[in-house]
Amino acid sequence: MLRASSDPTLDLQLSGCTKRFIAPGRELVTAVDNLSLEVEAGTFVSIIGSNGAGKSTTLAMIAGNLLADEGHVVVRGQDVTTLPSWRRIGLVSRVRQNPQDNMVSNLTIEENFALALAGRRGRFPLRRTSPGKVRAAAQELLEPLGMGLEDRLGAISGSLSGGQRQAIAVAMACLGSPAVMLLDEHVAALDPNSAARVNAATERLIRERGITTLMVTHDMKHALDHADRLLMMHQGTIVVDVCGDELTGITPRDLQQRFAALSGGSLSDASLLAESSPA
Amino acid sequence: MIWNLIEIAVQVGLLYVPLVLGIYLAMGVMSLPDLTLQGSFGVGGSTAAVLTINGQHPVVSLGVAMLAGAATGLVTVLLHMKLRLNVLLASILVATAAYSMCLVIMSSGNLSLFGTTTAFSWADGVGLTYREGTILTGAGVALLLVAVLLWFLRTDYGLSLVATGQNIQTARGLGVRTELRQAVGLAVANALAALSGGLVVHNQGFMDVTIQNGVIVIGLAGMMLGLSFTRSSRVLPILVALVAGVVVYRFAVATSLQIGLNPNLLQLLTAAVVVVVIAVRSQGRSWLSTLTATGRRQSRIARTRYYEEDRVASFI
Repeated sequence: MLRASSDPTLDLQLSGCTKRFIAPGRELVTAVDNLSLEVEAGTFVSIIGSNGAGKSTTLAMIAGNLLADEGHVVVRGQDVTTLPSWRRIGLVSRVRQNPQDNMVSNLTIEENFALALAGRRGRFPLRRTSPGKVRAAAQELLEPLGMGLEDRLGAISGSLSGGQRQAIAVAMACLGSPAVMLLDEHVAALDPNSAARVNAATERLIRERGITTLMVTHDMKHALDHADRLLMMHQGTIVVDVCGDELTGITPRDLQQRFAALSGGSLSDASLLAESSPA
Repeated sequence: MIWNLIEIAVQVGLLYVPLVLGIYLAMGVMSLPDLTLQGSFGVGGSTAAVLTINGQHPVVSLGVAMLAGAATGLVTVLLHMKLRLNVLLASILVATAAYSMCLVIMSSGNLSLFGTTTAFSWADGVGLTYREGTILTGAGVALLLVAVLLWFLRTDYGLSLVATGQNIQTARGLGVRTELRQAVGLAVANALAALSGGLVVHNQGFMDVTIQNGVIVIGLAGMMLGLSFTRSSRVLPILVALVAGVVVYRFAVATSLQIGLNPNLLQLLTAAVVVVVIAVRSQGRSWLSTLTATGRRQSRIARTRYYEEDRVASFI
């Protein structure tokens, strides 16, 4: 069953993962359909696809926010299929779209880092992690972002801008070097400037540490320019999977057409609009 | 006369400090609308009464009362976790059942602690009046609890509790087992409510099953008054304000009785205090400003925003 679990170069293996939901109206909807995927250590994977393609559901199954109905999730050789999210923290971290969901708003940045550190250790003792240790860990991750956040550790995190919070969330997700980092449209709620800055910060952090990353995005250009591998999902399955040299030859326009052909022409409205505009 | 009223307020108010801290922990920190606290107050009172009558040391009887309260809280948590019942609904059920539990524990509707050794009996031995002894004991307990909570909420474990009360998904994303934190939070909160019940029973020298009726509103009144004294989000100012709040509330009650309020109206007064405090906190400034056209417009904007952003949550 865990055929490749001995393979040390794989950080993530999904085999036959299926997730079904009962939609309003008692109709059974298959969000992710018998999905298998292997990701080598240190790879930066972009996932694109229309709404309802199963991207977020896939990430949720890897993070443990949803348990797979069928199939197995193996992270760095460990079968985590049935573990809840809080027990996967040492292996998987997830950054969500909404900044409010990534940090505890009424605690300071430092307190958030203290919690994240304790979570990575898997112990929340009845004492405080020494402030020196927390600050050192926070500064080490925040300084390279160049946003001056390392000097604002005492600030209540709810008082920061969305971009700042997402950058901190990515930094917090890097704590303890998890096997897999999941970015679920983590810049989608930001303005273009902040999105670019957070994207740059994200890439620097994960490249430096060589963290295997799955990023869901709607920004096809960014996905093509920055990722090592690109997946396109449609109706719960992977319809396009390209990497390496193949990637460099593809333009966003190619991607749209390939998607249209593979998925039987049912493009999302946004893609159709992008396709029809000459830009 | 004022000094006498202040003394009464401090004397009685301090006994309710554990209850208010428990309500704050459950509703303020954990964001769980736990009405079990009312039942735990009664369970704590009856447990403390029975053990004291059986000659147990006051510390033992109050300690066991706290355990009984924690157990009551855990029943609510179990209903919430295993049957996936909403906390409000689960706690209403448990608080109702707790009323009968009190009668079972006591084997009667009321008990007298006359002639027993209570947590306040030591005052007699060292030549203090009963009131002085009560104030010193109450102040000691309040100080101890504030210190313990202050320490606890700053530990890594305490922070994980705060995170759970803020956003369960965020907390789980940080590695917190949130269902366990809810259990611990409600157990501690109910233990505190039970301690309050035990102290009140020890102090008044008798236990009656009806002491728990409406006690949650007394706690709420103290909490709302206290929170109106500070706008800080830091733990220490809030805890100090809560202690002050319950004393001020008791002062209002003592004064009302002194100037001839019909004791039957006491519950009405308590509810009124809560409503007035909330009204002043949320509307105080806008009432004054409705004298001008801009002010009226502002208050209309605020009111519409409240209606537009209102949310409902089904709990069946």
